[in-house]
Amino acid sequence: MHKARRVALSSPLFLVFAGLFVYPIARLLLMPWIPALEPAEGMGLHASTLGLSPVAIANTVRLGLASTLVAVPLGLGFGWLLERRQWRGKGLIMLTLWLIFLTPSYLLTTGWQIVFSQPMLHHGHLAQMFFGQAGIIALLGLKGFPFACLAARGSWRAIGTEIVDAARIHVASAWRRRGVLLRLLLPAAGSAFAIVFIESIQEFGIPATLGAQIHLPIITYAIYERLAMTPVDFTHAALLSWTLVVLAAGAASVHFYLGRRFGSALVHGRQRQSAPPSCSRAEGAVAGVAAMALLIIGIAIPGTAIIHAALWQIDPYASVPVPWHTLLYSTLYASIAALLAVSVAMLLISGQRRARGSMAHMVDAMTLGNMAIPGLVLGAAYIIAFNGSLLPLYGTPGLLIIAYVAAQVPVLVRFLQAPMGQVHVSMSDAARLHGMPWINRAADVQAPLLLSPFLWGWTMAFGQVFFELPISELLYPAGRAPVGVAIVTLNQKMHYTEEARLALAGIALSLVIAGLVAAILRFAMAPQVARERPA
Amino acid sequence: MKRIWIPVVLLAAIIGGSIWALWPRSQQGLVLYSAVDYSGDVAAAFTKKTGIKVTVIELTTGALLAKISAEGHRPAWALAWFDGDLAAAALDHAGLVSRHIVPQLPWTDEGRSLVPADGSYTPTGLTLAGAYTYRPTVMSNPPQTWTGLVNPALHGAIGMNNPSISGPMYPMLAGMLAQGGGWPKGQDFVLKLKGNGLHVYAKNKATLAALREGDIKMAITQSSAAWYLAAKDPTLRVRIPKPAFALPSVLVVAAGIPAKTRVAAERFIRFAMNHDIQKLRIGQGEGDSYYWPLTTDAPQPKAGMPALDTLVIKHLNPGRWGPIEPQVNQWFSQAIIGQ
Repeated sequence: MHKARRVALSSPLFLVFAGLFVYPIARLLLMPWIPALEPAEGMGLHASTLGLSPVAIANTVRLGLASTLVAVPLGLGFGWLLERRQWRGKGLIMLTLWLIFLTPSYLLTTGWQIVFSQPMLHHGHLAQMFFGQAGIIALLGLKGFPFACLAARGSWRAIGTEIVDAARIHVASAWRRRGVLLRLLLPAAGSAFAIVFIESIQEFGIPATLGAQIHLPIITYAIYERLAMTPVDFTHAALLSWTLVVLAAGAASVHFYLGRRFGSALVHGRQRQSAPPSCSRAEGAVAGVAAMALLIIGIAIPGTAIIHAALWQIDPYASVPVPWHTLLYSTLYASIAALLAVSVAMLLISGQRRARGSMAHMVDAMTLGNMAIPGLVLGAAYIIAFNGSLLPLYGTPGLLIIAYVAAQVPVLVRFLQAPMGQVHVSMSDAARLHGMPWINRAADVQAPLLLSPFLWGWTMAFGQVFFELPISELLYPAGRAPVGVAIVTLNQKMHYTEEARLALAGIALSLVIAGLVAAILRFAMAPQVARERPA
Repeated sequence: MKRIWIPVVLLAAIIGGSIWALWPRSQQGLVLYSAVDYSGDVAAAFTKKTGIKVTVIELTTGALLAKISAEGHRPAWALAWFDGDLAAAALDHAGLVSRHIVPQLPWTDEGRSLVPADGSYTPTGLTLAGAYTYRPTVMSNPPQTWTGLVNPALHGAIGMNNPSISGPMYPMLAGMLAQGGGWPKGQDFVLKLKGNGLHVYAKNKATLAALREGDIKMAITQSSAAWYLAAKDPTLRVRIPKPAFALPSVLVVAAGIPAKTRVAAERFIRFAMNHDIQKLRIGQGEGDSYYWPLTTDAPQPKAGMPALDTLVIKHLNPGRWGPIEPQVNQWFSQAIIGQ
């Protein structure tokens, strides 16, 4: 009876999920084999070859892996510092982390480009490295670092002192004890690996900008080549996108494997919190140097260049009014999309934990497409899917928000799987045995435990959506352009100063909003946490 | 437990308020997809004059064409305004634009030559696909022709945009190939250019930055971008090569739209081409205002631009060069860029 009711309740939800998030991308990906799915007859027939070499695949994988290797160890290290040690510079690290995360990649690239355009640096060895593979890997790694750090923090936080104490008693060798800890971190590392790798392989802007002179064949280049044709060749773009989907599926299977093999419920009723120890002198020195390096490379240098561009006219063109109103639209789009995305991601994860079947993995695998496919193709998929007489959502803010949610959910699922998986089911079971209604269980047991991942997830999605560009450009409703579109329009018209001002205001605004929402939610949950502690 | 409702109510209010604020409240009227910078001013003037509302959606040329292609035979747009008759011809080839929409206007000879036989797009102004921007202090005597680019003295000195990423570059590449003997014979000329150290950047911004920073001595860009840059930076000069390749801005009307919308769209085209509005386009626009008018009753182009009759202009056949764009760009990516 319970099972029948659960199926009856979950079926409509599944249908909505499949219709809004799976159908558009599935329709696009099937286009090469079913021409009737094309938006206009015969549009894909004018191109004869795919234009994708094995070298392009190899380069894409190499860039993805290299940037992941930069981001994940850095993320684990800083995650350890933030959760397992007391250190005075934590606030500074957190600020740096969020600033790197919130700064769109095109702005970070612009900042460094301004730096290396200075005559004293322009022809130097560093500039040569920057405008090459090293620069691409460094920037992709830098953009992936906050994801890795956020994923790692959840696990470092969840590993209680009991586990460390038990390891100290039962495992004699210090190295093996560290091995035990690392094994517990593997699911989070897997999640960080999958997110950073997939985000890196579908990135086009950074390799296209920095790698223009080294002419490095990559998959996204071949896809964008198809998108630059008239009319756009969606059929071959979809066929090429399959390569990215397969690579993303490979990365996700590493994540699944690590989660299944080494995943464990670390948060449970008997867990005791204890204050982390202070850093030793050596640890403090290493942490200080690493944090300063991150601050200088990630934010201070490119940020100074951008602020210089914003405050002093570095370009000689007449000034134009800055479209500040786009900040409001982006705030609204990002607030809703982030809320829906994190809710859908959490529902999916709890559904997966209950189902544990092939269906759950199928849904997960299908959403991979949304994550692996470049934004412009994803945006086009949503136009094609929702421009018919059935569900004519195209042109409304609703479709833009749905597409944002679709783009964010897979990242959030991968990001939240580890922290949600660590909450032991027995906690909710105990409350149920004591006769607590589901609403109270959700509010008093699950919500406080999931508040932190929810907040991180919301803020992460908010930051990503706020400056999103390719989906926005194709789907934004008339007269309601988001800030990413306005920034690119200013760039196209060569108003770099106004572009920098708008972008800086956007970063500041998203920092303030993220902080404000975090404060409100923490205030709402604080009394419960306080009451629990003395017991 | 009660506290949980505070954020829930707050979040529900945010969602409700946001959707209310974002939802379009009025009819959109004529929907214009535009990649030219003066379209907002023209639309406002049109609405003021006729009472017909125009909703302008500003896009980059690439996104504009992607949007039109994705909408296919169910267009959400009525008009599109962008640079490139080759792209317009390709849209016509795919059946995405209406034919016979060109109004009766006092065309100049150049204008008449750009009007397609099937009337599928209206040329609204002329720019040139390839203009040379240089700094006289670094390059005293820039080449006057396309063949001059392969002069060994210019080894490593020339930069251009990637035609696979930057839309207006394809007509320039097609022109170079046509100069070299057509397709595929003209490949030899472009390969010689590569042998002479041609730099290929993603888009205008990167190419012009390379010029400013001294990485290259001469940038080949669309003429409007070149004049705009030179007007703002007095240390730069523009040279128009012989021949120059025509790159008109065009207005197209979506295929299959209601008759009433089509009538309003055609009215907009006539409006955009009248004297006062061309004066507005030349006066109020930014980079895109650097165009040569194509009607005899239009005002003079911007100061500093040479008279059209002093230039040698070649018009590539859109029916010939439009459909082979994918093939040509793919060859360029592989043979010249190595991607």
